[in-house]
Amino acid sequence: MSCVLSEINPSRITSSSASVLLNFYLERLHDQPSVGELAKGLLALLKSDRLTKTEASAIASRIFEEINLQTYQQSVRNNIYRIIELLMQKCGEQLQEDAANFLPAYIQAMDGEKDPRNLVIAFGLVRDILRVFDIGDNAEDVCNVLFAYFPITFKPPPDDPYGITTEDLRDGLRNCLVASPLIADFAIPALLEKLASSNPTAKRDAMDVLALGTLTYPPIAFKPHIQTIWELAKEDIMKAQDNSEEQRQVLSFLRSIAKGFSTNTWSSTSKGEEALSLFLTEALEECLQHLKEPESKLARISGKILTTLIEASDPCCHQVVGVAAPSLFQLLQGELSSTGRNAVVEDLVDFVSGGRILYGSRAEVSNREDVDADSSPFLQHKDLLLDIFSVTAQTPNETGIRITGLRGMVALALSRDLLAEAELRNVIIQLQRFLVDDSEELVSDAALQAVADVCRHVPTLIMQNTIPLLFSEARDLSLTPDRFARTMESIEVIAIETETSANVVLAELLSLFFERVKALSGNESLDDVAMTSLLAILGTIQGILQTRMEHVLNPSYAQTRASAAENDKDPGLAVAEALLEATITAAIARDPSTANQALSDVEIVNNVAEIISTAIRISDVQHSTEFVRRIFATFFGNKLSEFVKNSVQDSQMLRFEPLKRNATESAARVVPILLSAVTAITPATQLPLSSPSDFLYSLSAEAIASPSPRHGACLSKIAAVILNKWDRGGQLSHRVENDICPELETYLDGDGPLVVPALVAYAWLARALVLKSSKLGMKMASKLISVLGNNATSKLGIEALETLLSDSEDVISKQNAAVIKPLYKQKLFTTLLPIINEGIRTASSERIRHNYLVVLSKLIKSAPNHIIIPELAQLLPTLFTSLTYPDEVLQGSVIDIFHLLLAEAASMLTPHISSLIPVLLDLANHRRNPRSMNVRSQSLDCLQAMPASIRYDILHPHVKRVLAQLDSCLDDPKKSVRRVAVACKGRWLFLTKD
Amino acid sequence: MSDLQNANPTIYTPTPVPTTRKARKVFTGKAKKQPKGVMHGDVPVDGMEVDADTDADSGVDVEEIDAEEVFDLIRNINDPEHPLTLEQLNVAQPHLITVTNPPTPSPTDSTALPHIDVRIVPTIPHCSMATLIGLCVRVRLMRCLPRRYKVDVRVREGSHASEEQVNKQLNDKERVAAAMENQSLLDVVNRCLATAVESEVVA
Repeated sequence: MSCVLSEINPSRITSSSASVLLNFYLERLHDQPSVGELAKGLLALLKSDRLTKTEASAIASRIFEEINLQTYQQSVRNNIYRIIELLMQKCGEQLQEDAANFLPAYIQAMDGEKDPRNLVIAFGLVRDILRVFDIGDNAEDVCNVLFAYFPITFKPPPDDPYGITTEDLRDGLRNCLVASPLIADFAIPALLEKLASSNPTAKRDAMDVLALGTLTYPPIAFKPHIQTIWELAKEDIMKAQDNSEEQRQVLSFLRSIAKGFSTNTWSSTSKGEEALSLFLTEALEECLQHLKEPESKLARISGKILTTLIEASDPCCHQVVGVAAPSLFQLLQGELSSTGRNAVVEDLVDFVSGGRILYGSRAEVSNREDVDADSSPFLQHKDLLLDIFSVTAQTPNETGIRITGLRGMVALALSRDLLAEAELRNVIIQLQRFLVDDSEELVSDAALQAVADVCRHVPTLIMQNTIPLLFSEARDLSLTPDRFARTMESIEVIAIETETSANVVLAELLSLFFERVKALSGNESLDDVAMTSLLAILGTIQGILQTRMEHVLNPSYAQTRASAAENDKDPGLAVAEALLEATITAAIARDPSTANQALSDVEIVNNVAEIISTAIRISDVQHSTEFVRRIFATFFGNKLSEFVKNSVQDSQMLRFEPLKRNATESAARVVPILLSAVTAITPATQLPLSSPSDFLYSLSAEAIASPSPRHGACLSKIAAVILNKWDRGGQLSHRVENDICPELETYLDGDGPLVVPALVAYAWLARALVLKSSKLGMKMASKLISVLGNNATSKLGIEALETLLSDSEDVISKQNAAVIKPLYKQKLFTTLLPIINEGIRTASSERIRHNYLVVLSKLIKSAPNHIIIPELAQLLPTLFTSLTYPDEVLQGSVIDIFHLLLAEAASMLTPHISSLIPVLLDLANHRRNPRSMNVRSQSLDCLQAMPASIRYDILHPHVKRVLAQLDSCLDDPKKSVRRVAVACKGRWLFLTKD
Repeated sequence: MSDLQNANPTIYTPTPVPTTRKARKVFTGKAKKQPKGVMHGDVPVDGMEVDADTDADSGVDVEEIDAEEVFDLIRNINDPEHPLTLEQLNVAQPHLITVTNPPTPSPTDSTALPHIDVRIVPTIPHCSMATLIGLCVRVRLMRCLPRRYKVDVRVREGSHASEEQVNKQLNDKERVAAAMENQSLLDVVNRCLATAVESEVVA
């Protein structure tokens, strides 16, 4: 019948039949064996919603009368809890009237409940009961029952089907304990007892509950215990390790307690304040006592405690600062060791920073109502604090203290409504002095960070003061290269803080660059100093654009930018355009002036190319398409007027055909710019070419024929990028397959002078296709492997394959919006592995075998772990052979593979440990392997990883030998190897102690 | 807490020694390093190494062990009483370590032996832990330094009430060996050294 009831549509049960059924059920409750089914039926009845409230409330009393709940099995108990839960929902009021009976009965019923599934419901019930009911005299019983469960030590069994976690139970219990103010008198002492226990879980849970309890429990209940709370917390925190999890726990507990006391609903009455001030007085007294010996361990902790309290709330902050700050000031006036002084100033800095957390930062809109920065207790001390910090920052010869002082100045400067405009300006000027004039690197680093921090919040002042100062420094031609680089670095760090500052700085940097180039005109020849500074300026521009690019990827930033970019010109492209004009003008100038030489220097051009590529990437589609069109027109269509504004007379102009094999040297040098343009734009942009496939063909032909390898390689790269990104409808790869490949392959198979350029072009085109996982690409990759067998080109073959396998971000990569198929590595691996294996097997000479082994190690390194690990079992013998070749690079990469195996699939290596350990020990020994320290330290690293990943019983037979042999590694001539050896030995030593 | 000998020791901020100081990044105009190799247009040299970067650091110059390196070995040892390191308590200080690397070591001439002398400074003059700390330092150095070094561990002059006794105990081979056979003592020592080992593994 119960089953029927639970299945049936509730509307089919009439209220009269429901009441009949109910009576029947309640009558039968005394019949123990049928209680289970009865509970089901009752639950169904209740769910059907056909019972009147009085009828329903009768259920509860009958249940408690008849049933001794804990004698039944779990499912029955579960149903009963759910019945009570429903009753609470439906007829809470009736039950409330009957609270005097209901409560004790319920509490007795749930006492001893052990099943987690039931407990979750039962705790929820207790919470609701406590919230609504007048528990009156039963508070103590409730507490007793609840504390039987405290702390929750439940550990869910593995693959628990019910999905009940420790957290569910803990939260349930916690909510019960803080549900009513009425149980406070009993709960607080019990919690304190738990807090005093040595069980960490009990401690943590007790702290959580107490912290929450401050919000509901009346302060008067806390009052007698405040001292104990402080004592216990203090003891815990003093014992905890610095910066440990326990320490943070106690600190956050103290913060919540203080916060709770100040925001408690009772706090308007004097009781709340009293509790708070009592607590603070206790804490302050103790902490101030410790602070008198500022260098001691307890003083450090006291400083942390006070900072935490400052962060907690406005009244706390007032009381703590009011008492602690003067006493610290007093300490500073007395005799102190430098460590002590540093500690005191550090505490003050922490106080101010804590205040900043509470009251908010400068120029920031506060959304907190409970605090008012105008009333900050720091206001009355600010002059003194500023004084202390700036004097500290100037302490001679004490780097650590000086940095603390700087931190203090920043903390003051950034606090909300603390410093007036003039005072802030003063601080900035002081910081600038440290930045520019300080001889101690660490201090000026700290000052730079400080200025950047200030700039983030108040950019205008920095832009008005610091940036002009730095630029006037940069214009000083007598500056040493180091100082110049340093100034540039400072400019960059500050500029990237806000967008406006970045734009201003970019324009400024550009004019600085041209000033410097102009200054070269008078010189006879290029000097290194001038070149480094030019490169430094370009590097700074690039750095600023790069940071912006990282921002652009951030969607919230992109939106604000979109609205800003509409009206004005893109600042990145403006810089790019100016630089492009200058380089091209220099490339076509017949007059080889020093300035022109500088501008067409390989490195400068490469940097310019880099900037152009970044600028294209960060500008919007419309601008970048137009820009690329103009670049193409210049390089391809020979329309120099696109960029070169001042018309140059033909007689003074060199030929500009950069894409031809017979390009002039200076024209050939600017080709990287075209490369950077094609790499930067996305495949969605239409290329301004009439026939891409003809273009591709001519590019590869010119690339092979070009007398300059660099020019040729660059042209090959352009061809590869175009092949990868704009192969619409397979036209390009078709052309490659039919025309380009056969031609290149004839060169490859021959022995002529064109082998190298052909190989370069072939490898780049292959990479373009392999990344798209195309069949032709795989064919070309296999062809490259076969090149290895040819003695004349084997070294080159390795490099070509490296190009294919590398994850380099250069040219064709994800960052450059290349077309990359997700599984291409897998496909490449499975295509190449058999060919390489075959090659190793049939190699006609050791040298060729060596080549194959090198390629194998590279292939393994490049492929994702989940593909190679299953294959490695068969490859292990080959890899062991590789270790015997005296090629440190090969050895290194093979050791890396072993290291990877240790981390990912140690079990596979387990059977080979006994052969691996001696080999590694040999390689790690500096007497037997004196040449390569990298291999030595890699071997040691690999050995070091063993104890953590290989079972002890496997390693045990080797321990003695390893330890003995490691001794000689401790005497390695290289420091870094010794360090690894020490770590490695430590691992193995402690292995024996396990 | 009352059973601690020195419940509230002074903590020192570790002074940045060159080994801990971060290598300052060299600002070389942030431009990306241009890729090298035949594939990027470099002229191939016959017999060119595949990776040219490795020979720079594979030189055969010997970097002798110095005071800093020894300090690095012992700085992270934990004090037996506190969760603090010897460095934080100023028990070990880099300038109290002397390393002598004679150019021509000879087994007969005792002044020409490689020698390391470490002085430790107990936090308070009657600290009974001084011997234990010294033992930890000695064991650590025994495990981590090449055997050819003779190691002396002493307390700094005038820093301990029973200086001579402690020194005698620490530098008596037999007594150190005997101490290492005492399992409970060994456990304590290993516990103190564990932090030193951990810090290396992280690094």
